[in-house]
Amino acid sequence: MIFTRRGGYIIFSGITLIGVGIAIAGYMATQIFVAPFVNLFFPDFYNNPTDFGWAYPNKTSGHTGSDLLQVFFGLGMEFLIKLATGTIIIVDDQITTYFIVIGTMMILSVLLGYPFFTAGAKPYSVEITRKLHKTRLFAGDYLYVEITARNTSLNQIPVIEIYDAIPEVFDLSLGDNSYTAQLDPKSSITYSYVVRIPIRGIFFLGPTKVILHDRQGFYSQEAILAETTELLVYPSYEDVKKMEVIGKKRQLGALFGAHRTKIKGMGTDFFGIRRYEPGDPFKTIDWKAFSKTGKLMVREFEAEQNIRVVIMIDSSESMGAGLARNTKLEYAIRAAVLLSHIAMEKRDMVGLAIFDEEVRAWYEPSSSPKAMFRIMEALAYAVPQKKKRITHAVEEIMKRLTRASLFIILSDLETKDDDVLEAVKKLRAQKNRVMIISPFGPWFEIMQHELSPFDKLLGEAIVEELVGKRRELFKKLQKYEVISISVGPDDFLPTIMSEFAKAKQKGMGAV
Amino acid sequence: MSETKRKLTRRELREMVENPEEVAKRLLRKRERQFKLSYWIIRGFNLLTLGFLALIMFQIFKPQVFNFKNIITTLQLIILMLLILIMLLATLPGLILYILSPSYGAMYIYVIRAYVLRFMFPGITVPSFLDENVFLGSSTELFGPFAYLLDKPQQLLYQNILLYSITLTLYIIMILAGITFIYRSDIRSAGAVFVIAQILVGLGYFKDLLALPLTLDATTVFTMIRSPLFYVGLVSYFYFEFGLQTSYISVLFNPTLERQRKVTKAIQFLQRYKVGAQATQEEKQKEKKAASQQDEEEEKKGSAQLSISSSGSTLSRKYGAAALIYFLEQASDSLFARPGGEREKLTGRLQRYHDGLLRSDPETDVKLSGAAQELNPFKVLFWVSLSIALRLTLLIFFSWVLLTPSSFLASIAYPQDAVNSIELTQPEGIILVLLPLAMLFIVIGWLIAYVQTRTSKAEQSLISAEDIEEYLRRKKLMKFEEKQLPGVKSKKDKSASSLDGSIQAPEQAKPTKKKPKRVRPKK
Repeated sequence: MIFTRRGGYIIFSGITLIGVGIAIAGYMATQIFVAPFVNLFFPDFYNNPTDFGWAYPNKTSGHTGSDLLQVFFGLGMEFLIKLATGTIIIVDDQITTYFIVIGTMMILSVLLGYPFFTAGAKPYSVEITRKLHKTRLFAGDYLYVEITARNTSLNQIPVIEIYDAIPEVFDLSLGDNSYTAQLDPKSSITYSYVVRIPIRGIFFLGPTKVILHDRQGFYSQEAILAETTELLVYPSYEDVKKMEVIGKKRQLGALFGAHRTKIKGMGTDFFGIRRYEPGDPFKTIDWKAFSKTGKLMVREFEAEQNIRVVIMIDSSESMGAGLARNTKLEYAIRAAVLLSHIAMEKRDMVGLAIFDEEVRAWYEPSSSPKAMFRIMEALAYAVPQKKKRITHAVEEIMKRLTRASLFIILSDLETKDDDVLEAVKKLRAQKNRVMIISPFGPWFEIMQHELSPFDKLLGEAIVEELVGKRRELFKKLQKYEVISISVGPDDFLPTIMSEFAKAKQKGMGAV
Repeated sequence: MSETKRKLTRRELREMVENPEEVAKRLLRKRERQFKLSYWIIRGFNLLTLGFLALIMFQIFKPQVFNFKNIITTLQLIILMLLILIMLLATLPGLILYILSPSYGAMYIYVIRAYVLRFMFPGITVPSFLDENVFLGSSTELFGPFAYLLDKPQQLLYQNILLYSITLTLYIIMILAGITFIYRSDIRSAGAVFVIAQILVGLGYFKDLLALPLTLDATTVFTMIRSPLFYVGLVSYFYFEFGLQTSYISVLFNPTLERQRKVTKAIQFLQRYKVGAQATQEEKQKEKKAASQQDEEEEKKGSAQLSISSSGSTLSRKYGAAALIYFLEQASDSLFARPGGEREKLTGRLQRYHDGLLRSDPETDVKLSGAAQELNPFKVLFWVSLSIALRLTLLIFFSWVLLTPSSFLASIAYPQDAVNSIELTQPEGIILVLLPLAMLFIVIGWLIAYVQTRTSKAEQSLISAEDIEEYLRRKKLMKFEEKQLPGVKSKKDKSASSLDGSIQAPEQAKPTKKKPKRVRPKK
């Protein structure tokens, strides 16, 4: 319906006023009808209408609290008689006409403008253009959106309301995505807003809803106009940046193994001390040991080898449970970005597989800088959907992978144990090394503060049961020399980094 | 932003490049001035219309109604109402007590009544139409005052002085509602003024308080306008119509002003992040102090973290897991946590982003604050006045048609007997014409909408010459591309790519080479 609530109210008020007018006319008719009867029974009533003593049964002089009921009865009788005989209020045609005229004016005031409004500008005579500062950005970035509305008709639009739809997860940082304005014929209006995009993924800005009003606000027309604009948001690079900053501080003790070492040409881990043999470089001589023993000794370090890593990310539906910003998949993606960066910095080869029922994205291990961008893009597109088939994914990957690698599987393992074991068997058969970092569902999904004490107890019982099952699975996995760790939101990233550092030391998946 | 935007001078352009923030501020201030000017002009007009309505209402009532003494009676009445309310509330617990123990209950009621009268309303004077001795409880009856209030309604309700004070109170409320409308531009206040005006007219008429009879002479349009009945109605409606039109202006301006205020505040807040580079010595010192305090707090936090990291596990000792957790928590705070308040959204990063935007377009702030629309207050007023004049003219004409239904019905060849019927001189006559007239407007509106929709659909189905040209050009280009890149995969091939749904970067898509046909050498 084109009429707004305001228009409806005014029409309703007009009808009410006309109703009042008609009611007064009816009241007049009642008075005319009642008068002969009153004159018949109380001939002197119209001359002396004030004495209503007879209306109060058993009335003595003055009223007290003890005869309240009688007072009520008398009051009612007196009022009704006075009303019916026209002693209380005076009425005639004029006041009836007055209310009807006012009511008519109100109804007409709404209806008069209707043909003009329909003949005026339409929502489709407004052109909406949306300009984005950029269409590809990183999670945590800001985005400037500019909306231009153009009135293509020759009629003025007294009030136009524009609402540009933004995804719920976006934070409106500056300005507003809605706007109210007046649009003159053949003119345009521009407004803008800045949003912060907290998570990665593919998002759509728009469509834009346009509502047109008349000046009085009696009518409105709305339409959804602009097309949506696709936005590709890469996973955040903030973790990497932070780590680089910390790495630059050279706090070797605090973040050992997490950043580029300053010692070139050899490994960072101490292996042992042995006797000096001719040909050994002088710089390796341990002068302290020499001063103690009087013999030339050299220090030896473990040599670092480049490794080949395949990160397998489970993007099945269960990985997307919980709050949009804190799902297991989001953490897994953050971990993957961080891991890829560290590995590539150390010239290790990194490959990526994103899978659910099928393998959604696959990149062979590579250490070229371009590979990082490809991984970022693939991670941006990851959507939690469908069931998981780890074995199937492993089979598909094994067809394409020729050399043994270190497989880091990031999955919540919410599937049959056999599926996991079968996948691991297949990987180990090809001499691959496997590490399973498994985000444990309840630690991500249960909101402690939102639960009642009973729910908390129930939740703890469920967690206990799940932990037990997981422990059994991990025991079975140990047979295949698989490193399997359950992680929560707090220790996900540190665990994966430390485990990677350990694996690298051991030379797992060495090229 | 109007299409007819003037060209910027060289000086303005240079200023935009050199000092975009100042230019943006100036633009914002200009728009704000425009909005405020429009507001004050509209408020002035609102005050005039309210004054006009108040004057008309004042004139139609008998002089004794708007007497200063009545204000005192009104005040007395208000205090009395308050007293009755308090006494009623205080008596209620006594009634419960009275059921349990009549003697204690009665005692409580007497005591509480005495307390209310002596300490809460000492020396209260009741209006002259009430017997003070009876009402204020010299009676020994428990519910004496209430019984007295209910006794003989004519003693209370139909006293002229009471009617005058009620009328005066309503009149004052009407003016107060009008003033509220001037300040808040809320159409409900204007509606309240309109309704109170009707109540005043009705009350005045029913209780014979009007100075002039509400007569109506609808012989011609002009005699109708001059009739007191129509004139009073028209004035009150005019006020309401003006209210509707001016509330429109507030619908336009209020959100923009609010948005402007919010954005300006946010931008000012963001500027604080710049202080380090551009501040004066004093500001720098303040900042330094604040920063050192923050550092101390962070140090404390950090030492706590260190103590955790050195607490035991080999993992934390060897790989600094606690330190990692610390910095990753810091990252997650800024990244994944939903910003709590308005201030938390405003970060240094946003300030840098905003500065970048401002350098590329000095009008960024104007667009963000929604102040981009250039509203000429006088132009708006002109349109509002024109609209009111047009609507009132039409309204008067159609009201006349409704009040003289015979002439209208005769013109549409209604049966002569019906036209001459006595019923048409009655209110029913107005209703008889009002219904078809109302429907007529709706039908005309629907017809226009229908025709327009049909036309637009027809327009959409037409293909313009430009479209055909564009289509041909694209087709040509496509053919050219096909010739140039014979190896580009078709859509069908793409869907069946190596691993279903695998994402390939554009640079990965390599054109496949066609195998050259082997040609047998001629023998």
